[in-house]
Amino acid sequence: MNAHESKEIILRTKDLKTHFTVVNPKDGQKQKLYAVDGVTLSIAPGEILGIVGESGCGKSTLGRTVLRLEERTSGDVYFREENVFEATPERVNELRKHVQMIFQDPYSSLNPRKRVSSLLEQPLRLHSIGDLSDRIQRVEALMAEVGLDPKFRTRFPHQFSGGQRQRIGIARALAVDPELIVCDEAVSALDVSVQAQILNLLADLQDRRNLTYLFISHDLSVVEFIATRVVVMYLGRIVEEATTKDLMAKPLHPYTQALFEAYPVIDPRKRGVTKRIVSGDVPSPIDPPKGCHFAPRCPFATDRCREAYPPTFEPEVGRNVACWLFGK
Amino acid sequence: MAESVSATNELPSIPGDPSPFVRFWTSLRKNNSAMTGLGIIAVFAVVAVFAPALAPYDPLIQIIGDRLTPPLTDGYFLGTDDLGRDMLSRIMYGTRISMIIGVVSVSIGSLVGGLVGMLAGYFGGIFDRITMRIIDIMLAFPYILLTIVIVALLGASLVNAMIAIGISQIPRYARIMRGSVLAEKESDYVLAERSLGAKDGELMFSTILPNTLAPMSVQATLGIGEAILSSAALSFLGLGAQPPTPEWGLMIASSKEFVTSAWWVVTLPGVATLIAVLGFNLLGDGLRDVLDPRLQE
Amino acid sequence: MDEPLLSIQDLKVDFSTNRGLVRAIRGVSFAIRKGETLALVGESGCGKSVTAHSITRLIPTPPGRITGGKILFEGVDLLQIPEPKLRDLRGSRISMIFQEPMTSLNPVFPIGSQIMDVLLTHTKMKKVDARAKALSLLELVKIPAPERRFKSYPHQLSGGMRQRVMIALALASPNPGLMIADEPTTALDVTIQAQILALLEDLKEKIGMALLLITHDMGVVAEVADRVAVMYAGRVVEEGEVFRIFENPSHPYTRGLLESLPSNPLYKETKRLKAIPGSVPDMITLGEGCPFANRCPLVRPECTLAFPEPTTLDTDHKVWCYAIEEEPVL
Repeated sequence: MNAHESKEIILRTKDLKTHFTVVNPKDGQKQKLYAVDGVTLSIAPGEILGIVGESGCGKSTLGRTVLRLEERTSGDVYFREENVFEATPERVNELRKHVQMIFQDPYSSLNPRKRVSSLLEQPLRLHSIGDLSDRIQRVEALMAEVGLDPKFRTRFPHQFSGGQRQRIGIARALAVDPELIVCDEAVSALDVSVQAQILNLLADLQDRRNLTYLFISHDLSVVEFIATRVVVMYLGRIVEEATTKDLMAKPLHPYTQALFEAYPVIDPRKRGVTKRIVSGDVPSPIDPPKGCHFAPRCPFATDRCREAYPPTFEPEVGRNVACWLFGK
Repeated sequence: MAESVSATNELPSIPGDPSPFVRFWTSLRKNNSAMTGLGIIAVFAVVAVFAPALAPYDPLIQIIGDRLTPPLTDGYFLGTDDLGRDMLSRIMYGTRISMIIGVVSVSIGSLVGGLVGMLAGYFGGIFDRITMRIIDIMLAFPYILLTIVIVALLGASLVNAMIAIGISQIPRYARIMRGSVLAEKESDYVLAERSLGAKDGELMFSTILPNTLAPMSVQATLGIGEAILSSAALSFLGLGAQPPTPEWGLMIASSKEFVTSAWWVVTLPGVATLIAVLGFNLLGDGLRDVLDPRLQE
Repeated sequence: MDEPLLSIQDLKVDFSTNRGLVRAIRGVSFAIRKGETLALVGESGCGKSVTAHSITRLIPTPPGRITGGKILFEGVDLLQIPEPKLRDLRGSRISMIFQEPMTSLNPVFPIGSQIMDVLLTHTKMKKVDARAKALSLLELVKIPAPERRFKSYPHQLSGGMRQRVMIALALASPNPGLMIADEPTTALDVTIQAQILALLEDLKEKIGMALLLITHDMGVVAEVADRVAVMYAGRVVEEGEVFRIFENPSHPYTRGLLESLPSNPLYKETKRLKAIPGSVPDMITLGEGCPFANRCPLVRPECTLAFPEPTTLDTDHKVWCYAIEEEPVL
């Protein structure tokens, strides 16, 4: 089922833009970096929306803007139809009880000077949940829920392995019992065998707590495994959106196809077969190409692609593609 | 499912892995320079605290008949000065004053400087620009000149000397703090705690501050040594402690005409200053080595 | 079997740390033949990079120390020859490329002159010829508009371009024998990774050099390796031809590693991965036994006592595991 048509929506963005001003080190000129450049999407409760793209595509900035950790340039973010950017600071803090985040690097996202107990107790305290003894109990329950022995609560982050640290990060996000969790490359820094543990944990938690994830990753196979629907981003914009099944079966946008083809196949007998490697580098989001941003690398690009950014077409029910190839 | 959750309950880390403080202490103990410095400071600290019990004489009592007695003579271990006061006792009481000056002026400098640096680094913007320009102006003055100007404005006294030294040390702490805050504020763990709903005050003082203490404590240790030296200089110039206070710089100044006839009256307070400053510098350098994150593991 | 180009025999490397002695490499042996690509694969901390850096003796000493073994390159033990001779070999017969090319390129010189420098040090070329050769190398690694890029500084290039420059530098010697590539595509986006892997593949054929590829990514291994050595906690646990490793993984760790990949078709429907339980052991307290014993589904009493001798399953397929005789080929 397409989330756009379902009635209930937990989070949506409307033409969201987050631009940064950066200073060119060479001439001291200020330039605009179009990190997120007009993103409209929506997530239904219980859904796992995957966001895929390469570096500089704006997926992480999108995740942070949704939590209002970055200020938007224009457009809006609605959490349960409440405009996040028009809320008072107090209200934003209240909203953070409902929307939480898991970070990429389990080493840098935990304060090295805090013990696990105080890392996990902090969100409870900030949102005035329970009294002290209550909170201690909750901390132990949280640790158990993410697969950590509560007897390690007095330890410091550096005393844990990468996977265990990520479990702490997950427990911290769960502490305030959120509805939506933004997972920003949550398993990318982990070794494969540990990554599998954490992916299972995230899937279990989603089942058990009926969570909604905005799952940001550069890794197609991870997104394919966990997401129900996928959004593909390129240079700040959504180029394709579809259910995971549809997208994996038949990617439509030339960039999505290029991404899929470039992804290594775990079968040495299939190496090199039908490989069509897209050439060129990902352009800088400071000065994105005119027209369709992918046009300079696209094997199907026409003059029209180079002139105007394509609108979103719906060649099949429930599939959105921003590519002129699908225009009538 | 149960498998994936229960699977990781063995820690790869060593059993009884020590806390950061214990780890810090273990590596500090292996650092010769830090331990030598710490030893020197400990001796001075003991002398400072127990000066009344340890000193053989009252540092102010003048026995004119015994004036300028050389060391190891007539029961004066380090001799007497030109007014017949026991040098050893005066140096011991001087330790007290130097330690207090060091600690008080560094406290003033690091608290004010640290706060300014924290606010400037955290909030940035116009406050940052204005305070940093003021700091630049302060740094444009030679350190000792700035101190002298401040004492001149406040009036010559030991307390004012401490304040002046403290004020002229503000810029360095402000800069170090601002630099560390700028680096820490962008890190994921600060962002993470912000996303949990932590407010600015908590982020500044409970999240960021503990992670900036390493460079600050190195600077503070070196700063104590420098403050001791500055106070001696100020007193030597007559801008700090006033007679008959047994302050090292003042002791050198008041008996400088005897430098050719009685070497000990000038040399010994100088040596005391030198050793004390050396102690703090050794500890400061050692701390820098131990706290440098690049050298950790 | 022909004489190997590089043969590592029972290499042992220790690191002293604040917490104690880390025996990072505990007797690693493998060989690379001329023109072959060997992938040294394993997760972080398994010692794959340390092994690679031992070959050119680039381990920081202290804290690191090579405590045993031989590294024979064309029959010469690299651990025994004097430093100047090794330095000669490093630029000419053995070259290295790293994960982050920015750190290995000099930021203050244009890339063209950096390549020329290598040419001028290792050959008796004239400056004009060196320039022409440098240009042709940039062309060889498919840098667009090499004439213009010749004067570019490293920071003006993208990550992918910098990696190409590193490869050009590695090829600048007259007679490259072995290239050691340490996670060469890990910092790159997947479309750029595909380009670099294709380039390496292409160059290998053209030049006939051997490639030692250090990686954690089974996908990269499947794309380019001829043979694979799987490392875990300072040991090689399985070694063999790439098809054997992927089609008949025989060490429980190799199997676990392949099964825990989310792209494994096994998981299309189940929505749960088959993870390896537990985590990598602490290298300081780890004993003499098989390092995988604490996570292994087939663990036996003898596993914790001593590391097993290799079992040869097939020509060119070895596995270090006690459970191998009883666990028939799947």
